[in-house]
Amino acid sequence: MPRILIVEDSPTMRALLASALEELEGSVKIAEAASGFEALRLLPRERWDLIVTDVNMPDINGLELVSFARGNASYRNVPLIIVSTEGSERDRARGLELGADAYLVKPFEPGELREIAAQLLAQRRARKD
Amino acid sequence: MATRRPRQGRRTKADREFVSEAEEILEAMRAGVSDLGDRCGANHGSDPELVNRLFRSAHSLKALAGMFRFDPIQDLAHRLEDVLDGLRLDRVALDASLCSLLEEAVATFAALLERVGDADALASFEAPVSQLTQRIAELIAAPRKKDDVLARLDVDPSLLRALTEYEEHRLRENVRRGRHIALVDATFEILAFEEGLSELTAAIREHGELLSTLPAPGEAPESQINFSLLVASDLPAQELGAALDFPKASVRAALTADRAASAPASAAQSAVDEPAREGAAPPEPSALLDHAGELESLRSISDTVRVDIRKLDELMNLVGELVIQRGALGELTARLCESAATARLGGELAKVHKALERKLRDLQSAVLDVRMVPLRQVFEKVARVIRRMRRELGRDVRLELRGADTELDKLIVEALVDPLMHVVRNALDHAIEPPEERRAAGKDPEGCLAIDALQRGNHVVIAVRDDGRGIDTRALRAHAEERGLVQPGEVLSERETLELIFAPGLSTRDSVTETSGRGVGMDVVRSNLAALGGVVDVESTPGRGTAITMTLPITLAIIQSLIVGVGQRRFAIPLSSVLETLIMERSAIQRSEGRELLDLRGEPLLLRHLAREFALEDPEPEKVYVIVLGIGEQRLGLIVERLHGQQDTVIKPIQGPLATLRGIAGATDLGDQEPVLVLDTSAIVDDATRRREVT
Repeated sequence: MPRILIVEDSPTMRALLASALEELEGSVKIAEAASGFEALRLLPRERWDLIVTDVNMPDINGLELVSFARGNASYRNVPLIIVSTEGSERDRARGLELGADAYLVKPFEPGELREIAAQLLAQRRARKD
Repeated sequence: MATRRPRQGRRTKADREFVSEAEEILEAMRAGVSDLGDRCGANHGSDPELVNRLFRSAHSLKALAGMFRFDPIQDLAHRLEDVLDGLRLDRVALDASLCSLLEEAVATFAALLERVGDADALASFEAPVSQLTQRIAELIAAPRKKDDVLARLDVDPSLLRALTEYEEHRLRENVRRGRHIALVDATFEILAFEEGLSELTAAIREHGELLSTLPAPGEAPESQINFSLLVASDLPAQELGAALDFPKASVRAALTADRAASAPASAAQSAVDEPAREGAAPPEPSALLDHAGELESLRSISDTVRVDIRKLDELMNLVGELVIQRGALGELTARLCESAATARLGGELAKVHKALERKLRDLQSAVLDVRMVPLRQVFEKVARVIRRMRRELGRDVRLELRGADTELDKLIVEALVDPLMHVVRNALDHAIEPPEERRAAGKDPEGCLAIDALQRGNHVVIAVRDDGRGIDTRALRAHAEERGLVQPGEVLSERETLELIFAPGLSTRDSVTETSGRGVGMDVVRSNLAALGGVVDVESTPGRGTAITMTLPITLAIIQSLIVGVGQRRFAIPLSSVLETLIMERSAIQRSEGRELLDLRGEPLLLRHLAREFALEDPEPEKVYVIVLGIGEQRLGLIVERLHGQQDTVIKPIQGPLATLRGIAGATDLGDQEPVLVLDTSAIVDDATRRREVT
């Protein structure tokens, strides 16, 4: 069963992200981190198949989380989606440059997130097989 | 601007609305660009407030053009917004080429606006506009050559790449202010990093600003995690390291501040340092270090904090969401109370809920309170403008300002500046006569302009009174007839005639002078205020003067609403505009000249059916409720089928086709997952009571 980690400090957004991803075809396991630090603690606990992260958080920002994941052999290949209110071209470019696979701007369509997530999960499955 | 535009006749009403609003924005942009040009010419740096204003103008123009679907204007405004954003965040340099590009953009906007309504002329502009757009895009893309502080930083580039835009901005700002930048590295056990890290960051915050926190795998990646912290401080790295006294952390300089070259901020700082040093004996180096730490902590003690308004918005939104959650909790509690099996538990929960409600209301008013600012600053701006105009026009005008301490939501205050300024300019320019004329009329040669602000319930009323010549209603009417706004022979009351000054496309003078805001009329004032949920009224006595009264809500954020129902639907009506509610038999409705009226304590009250306003099915029950709405001086009775009670509501903007529907201010969630539309009472009352314009 694919495991998804959602990193987002706003409870409302977190619930929205989770409910959007729960409807993915086939069953998925979703874990939620309410801060960047919590994400850092959760990362080594499981084999993650997808990480969805916010950018602006109080402890570490989403770009830093991407940078951390990409610099670490254990998470280097985990697909990563950044979801942010910052629609700025700069942050989008930075996120992708640091190794995120997609960048979604809030408010996003739940269907859009699902589609991207499904695609990334399928790619990961194909690579694993 | 003064040239007549032959093609104006082809413009639709929407075109005219667009052009008049766009021209006002453009006017602000033109002034801003010229100020920016002056600064650039004088080799001053850019003024953040000025750039911010320009950015907002470009943003408004983009949004406006998008709404009216003028693509070339929207595209150009979008690019302009980008480049100003770059300037704002210090990514684009202020230089002569940028200034001339901005001037060119303003001129192009003006040319485009002149051609609105003429599709061919607009199309012929496509190529030059896209060329200009392209050039602006290139300017944004060009890397900033001179003085890129980031290149001077001695840190791993991966750390800089992971900065958000805001963090990068803070970094530049700290460098500009002449602070030292240090890199603090620390490694923790991955299972317990938070405790140690928060101890370290707390220590850092005592001595400076924590700019970013980059995690990286430690030497033993399975069990350790490393953090690289970028810190701005007044202490050089070495002293910072000693001050932190954190054995696990290594501190090194990423950028040593060059104090001699830094901006005025460091001058201000040495002013703080010096008196302290004077009092003490020549300090030992180590004593100096202690002293610096002490000063740092002293400096942070101040009773005001500057906060970005967006952070307050965020806070307000959170409170709003809490309020909605509370509503949902209330419903659940009520359901628990209803069933005998859970009534006891429900009763206890109801108590807790009540307490929560009280605290939430306190929280709400505390957050609202933080957003409130006095009108003083706006008044000072008005006073400055009047002083300048006095010189330019050679009029003797005495200014009386009262109620400068009246408080309004920051956002409303900002949006108020333009309309207020416009009204003041009109008064000085048109209303108050030259001294000779006043003397001849037996008046004090010195004119008087009085601005009074006072709070009335949930509204603030701002009245601008002059003792000038008053509005000549005959000339006004003649002018309106000329423009086809009134048919000859149409009967208008004195008040209705005065109201014509708010009709789009009407200016009582043909020769538009420099100070009058160049042809932008009172219609824009009215629509600007309406966007804030406010209204504007006029009173005038020939020979004696004119009073323009603006009534504005104190805040836009959370409002108490009356929830009403028609058929299957519910609507929220802001309680601030509800005077009273009545229940009546349908048979009590009187009809006169096609209008429905109600005799309300001897006064006729104009009625409207909410169902018909939005073309909903009207079950026409025998007993109906009348919601008496009052906006400024106007009254309207709105007929609804049901009353559901009062509730706190957070108005959220609507996107999509409903967004431009007149009469709807937004949507709200009452906690039961079903969105409810919020009525724009000022638009509804306005439309019903104002004579419909002839188009």
